Amino acid sequence: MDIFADLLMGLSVAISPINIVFLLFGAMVGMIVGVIPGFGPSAGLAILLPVTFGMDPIGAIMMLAAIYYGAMYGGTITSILLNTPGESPTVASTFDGFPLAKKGRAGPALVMQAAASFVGGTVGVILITILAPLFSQVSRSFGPPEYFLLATMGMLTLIVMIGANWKLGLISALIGFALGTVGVDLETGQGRYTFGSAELIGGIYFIPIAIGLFGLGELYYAFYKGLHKTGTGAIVQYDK
Amino acid sequence: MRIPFLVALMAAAVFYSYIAFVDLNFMTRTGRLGPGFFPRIIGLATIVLCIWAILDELRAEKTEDDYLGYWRDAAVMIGMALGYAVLLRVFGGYLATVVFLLVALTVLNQGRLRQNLLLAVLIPTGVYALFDQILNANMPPGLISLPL
Repeated sequence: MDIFADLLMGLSVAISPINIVFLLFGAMVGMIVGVIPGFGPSAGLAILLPVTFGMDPIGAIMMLAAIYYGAMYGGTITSILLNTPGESPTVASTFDGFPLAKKGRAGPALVMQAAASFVGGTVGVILITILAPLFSQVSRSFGPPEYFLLATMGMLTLIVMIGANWKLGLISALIGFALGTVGVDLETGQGRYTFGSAELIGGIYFIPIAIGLFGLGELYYAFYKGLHKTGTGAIVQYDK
Repeated sequence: MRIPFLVALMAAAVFYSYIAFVDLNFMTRTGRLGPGFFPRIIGLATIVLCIWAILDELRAEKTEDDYLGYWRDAAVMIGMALGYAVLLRVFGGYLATVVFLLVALTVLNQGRLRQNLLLAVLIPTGVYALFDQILNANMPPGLISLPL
């Protein structure tokens, strides 16, 4: 029960009016950072870290935690409103959130997302507090067979997500695999599809792909559909 | 519009497979999987599936495929985005963004030169002030940088 005693002590130290102000400020700044496509919690923390220099350590850490959680939620705002996830954890919000926004129910979608984000974050913190010692032992025993099983699970999830038009779904998956082959081959150390570019040696990261596929794709499709001519700010309606 | 997209995708898959077969070995000298093992499988599978999907589309003969939409506007925007990528390399983040925004707004928001000019200068200046000056996160440098 040491964990709970430590948590209670931490809570008693953290709850002070000035720390609550830092918490609110951090959450607000985090949400603003999260809304910017490509700026996830990690990038937000890295950039806003200098702001906390010179602050009281407890308030600084609380503000950084609030920035992190604010940015996690902020990333979903663009997912729901623009169908453009800012980073990988918010991609799933586009599946249900954006269709709701198209039906004019963006407000309830954002509220539901905030509630889900709060519940998910709280449950996550509780689980990591209780189960971290156990999982640290499990993670140390992770080897090639376990990674293979994880990859297999990913493929099985892909089958579920492909849906009815399996040929186009499979082509999408193959494009993903093809993009994954860019960079240095881990087995031989030989560069693949780098074309002499130093930037491509490490491969193509997820965020540029997500923004390119979702953000730019959405934008160009809106131009193709002529929404820029209407001047109403209408949302793209996809053909079946 | 789906058929031209699939044809373009197939062309990319052919190029991908060409490199996989010409530049990358299927197996290593020690008999292990080479760097070209997976790319060859992925490339060939993509080509086969693209051909299959194109044939399906041709068989379906959908009439709405005749709709070409505002493809010129979309193509112009894609061209401008590519130009922005080149400008980023040459002039760096600040100046390239000013030029890109000015050109894009001139095309999209015609007849409002003063508003476009203000937006094209103020937005990158705000971003520069926030990130470069306050947060110390530098904007992308270019070959020819401004003395800021």
